[in-house]
Amino acid sequence: MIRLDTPDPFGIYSNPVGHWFVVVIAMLLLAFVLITATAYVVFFERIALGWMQRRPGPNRVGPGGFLQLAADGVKGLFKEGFAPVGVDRVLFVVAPGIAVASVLLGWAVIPVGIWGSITYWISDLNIGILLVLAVSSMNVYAIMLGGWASNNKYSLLGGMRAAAQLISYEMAMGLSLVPVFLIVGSLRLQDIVGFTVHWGPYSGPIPLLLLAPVSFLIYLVAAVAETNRAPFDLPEAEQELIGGFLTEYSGFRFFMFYLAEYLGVLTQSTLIALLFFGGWYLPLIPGAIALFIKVVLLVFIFIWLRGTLPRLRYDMLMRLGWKALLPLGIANVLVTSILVVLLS
Amino acid sequence: MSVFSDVAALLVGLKTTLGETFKPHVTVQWPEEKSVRSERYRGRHYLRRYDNGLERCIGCELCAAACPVGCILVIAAENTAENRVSPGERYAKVYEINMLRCIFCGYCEEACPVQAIVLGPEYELSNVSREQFIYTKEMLLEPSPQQPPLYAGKKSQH
Amino acid sequence: MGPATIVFWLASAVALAGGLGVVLFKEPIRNVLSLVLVMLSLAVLFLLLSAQFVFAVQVIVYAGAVMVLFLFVITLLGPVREQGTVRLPWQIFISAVVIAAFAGFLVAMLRGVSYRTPDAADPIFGSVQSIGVGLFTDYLFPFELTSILLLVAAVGC
Ligand code: SF4
Ligand code: SF4
Repeated sequence: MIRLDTPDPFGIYSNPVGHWFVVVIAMLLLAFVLITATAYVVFFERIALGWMQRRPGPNRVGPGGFLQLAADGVKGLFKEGFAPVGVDRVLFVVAPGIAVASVLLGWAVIPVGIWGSITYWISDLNIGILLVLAVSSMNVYAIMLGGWASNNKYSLLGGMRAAAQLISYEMAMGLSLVPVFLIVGSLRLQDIVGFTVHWGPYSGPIPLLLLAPVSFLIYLVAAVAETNRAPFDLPEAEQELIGGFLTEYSGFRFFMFYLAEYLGVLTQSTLIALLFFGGWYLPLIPGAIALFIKVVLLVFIFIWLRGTLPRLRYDMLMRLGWKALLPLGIANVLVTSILVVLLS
Repeated sequence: MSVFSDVAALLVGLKTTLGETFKPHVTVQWPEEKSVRSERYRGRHYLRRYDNGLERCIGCELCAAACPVGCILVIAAENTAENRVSPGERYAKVYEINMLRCIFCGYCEEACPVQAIVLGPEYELSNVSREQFIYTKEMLLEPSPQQPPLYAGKKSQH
Repeated sequence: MGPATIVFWLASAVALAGGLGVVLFKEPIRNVLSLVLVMLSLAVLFLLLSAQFVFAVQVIVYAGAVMVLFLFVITLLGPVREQGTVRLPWQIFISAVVIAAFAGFLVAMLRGVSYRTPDAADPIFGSVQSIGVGLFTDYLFPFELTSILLLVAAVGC
C-alpha cells in the first residue's frame, strides 16, 4: 500500500493524523514545484526555439522576460472559457482535468534525490514505473474526449489520431523498458536509480544508458510521441487540423491542456534521467543539482527535436511505431535477456 | 542501407539547428532599435510646402481620383489676394485622409501634379480610436520653413 | 473503519454505479465511459488486495487500451443522440428470465462463501516477482497457450 518511507526523526508518521498531514503537505508542495517548473519549461522552450531561429524569444516582461509566464498565466485565467454550440458540456469540461491528472498522478512514485542520501518520494510501490505508464495511458481519454466533445470534425480527427498514436507508442515504450527491468531486476524507480555494478576495480553507480542504449533510443522516441510533441504532434497539427482537439478550447481549459503537455515533457525528462542517466548521481555534485542539470538537458532535447524535425505523415507514424520500434524493441528484449543470462 | 542515411539526415538537421542556436540574433528590438527604411518607403503622408512657405497643394483632387480605396477627401477653395495659401488659383480648404482605409499604395503621390502629397518614412501609426485615424490637413501639413522640418528626405523626387 | 475500508466501499460503489451507467445511459459514449469507470474502480479494488501488478495491468490494458478501442468506434458515430428505441417482442419477459437466471447463479455462488479476515499477505504477494515466478513455473502451460491463441488472433489466419 501507499506509505511514506522517509526517515522519521520526530515520530510524526506513527501518528495517523500527523502522517496524513505530512503526505498532504508533501503533495501540495510537489504540485506547486511542478507547476512552477512547468511554467519555466514553457519559458525555456520559447527561448530555445527562438535562439534556434536566431531571435531572442520573450524578453519584455520582467528581467530577461522571466515573468512572461506569469503574465500569460494571468491572461489565461481571465480569458473567457468559450464553449461552442453543441458541445457535450460535461465531457468538454472533464477532458482537460483528466489531462492534468494523468500526468500529475505519475509523480506519486517518482523519487527525487535531494542531497547525499536524503531522498524525497511520496510512495514506493513495487510496480514503480508501471504506475507511471498506467496513469499516463489515461491521457488518451483526455484527448479523445476533448476532441469528441468539441463537436467539431477537426477536433474529432485529432482525437482519433491521438488514440491510435498513443496506443501504438505505449507498446514500444513498455517494451523498451523491459531490458532495464531485466538488468536491474526491479521495477522500483529507486532501485533503477541506485543500480550499481562491480566490474573489477570499478564498483559504483552506472548510468543505464551504457548498458541499454537501444532501450534509451526507443524510449526517447516513444516519449516524444506520448507527449504529442513535434515531430509527433499529429493530434494538434495546426496546419491541417487547425489545432486538432484543442481547436475549440480557450481560456482556462486550454491552459489545462497546455499545462498537461509541458508537465508531460517535464515528467518524461525526469523519468529518462532516472531510468537511463543514473538519476541524481553525478560525481561531486549534490543530488538535486545533478538531477536538475540532467532534466534541463533532456528537456532541451525535446525542444531541439521540435525545432528541427517536421511533422510525420500519419502512415509514416504508424510504420515507425509498428514496423520499426516494436520489432526493434522485441529484438532488444531478446538480446538483453540472453546477455543477462550469459553474464550472470 | 537507407535507414542509416535517414538517421544521418536527421543528425545533420539536429546539428544545423544546434549550430544556429549560438549564432547572433537578427531580431531588431523595436521600439528601442528601429530598422533602416529605404528612401522610397511609403508610410504616413505629408503635404509639402514651397520654400517660401506657400502650400503646394492646389486643390485639384487628382489624388482623390487616383486613390484606389477613395480615402482622400479634398474640398478646394479659391485663393484671394489677401488670403493666398498656394501659388495656384485654388487651395485645399479641407484635406483629410482616412488612414484606416489607406493601403499605402502611393498612387496619390504619383497623381499629384505639384508633388504636394508625399508618403514619408513614418510607420508607427497605431492608435486607440477610429476617429483618430482621420488625418486632417493640420496633421498632414508640413510646418512652415521657419520651423525645423519633421523629416528629411523625399524632397528631391522626380 | 480504517482508510482501507472507506476506500473499499467507495470503489465498490463507483464500480456498481458504473455498471448501472453501462446499462442505463442512452448515449453510447456515456456507456463506454461508465465501463471505463468500472475498470478503474476494479483496479483500485485489486490494489486494496495488495495485487499491485494486476492493478497496473488492469489500468494499462483494459482502461488504457481495450476501452480506448471501444471509444474509438463509438466516437466515430458522432455526438448524435440515439433516435428512439427498438424493442424486441416479449422483451420484458425475456429480460426477466435472464435476470432471474443470473440472480440464481449469484445466489448459488455466494451460498458456499464463508467470510473471514484475510491472512496477512507475505510482503512479496502480488508483486512483480511473484507474478513472474508464477507465470514461468506453475502456470507456464496455460500462459504459453494463451500467447499462441492471441498470436493467432492477431495474425488473423
Ligand atoms: S497611398 Fe494609395 S490608398 Fe493611400 S491615400 Fe494615397 S492613393 Fe489612397
Ligand atoms: S495633393 Fe496634389 S493631387 Fe491632391 S488635391 Fe492637392 S495638388 Fe491635387
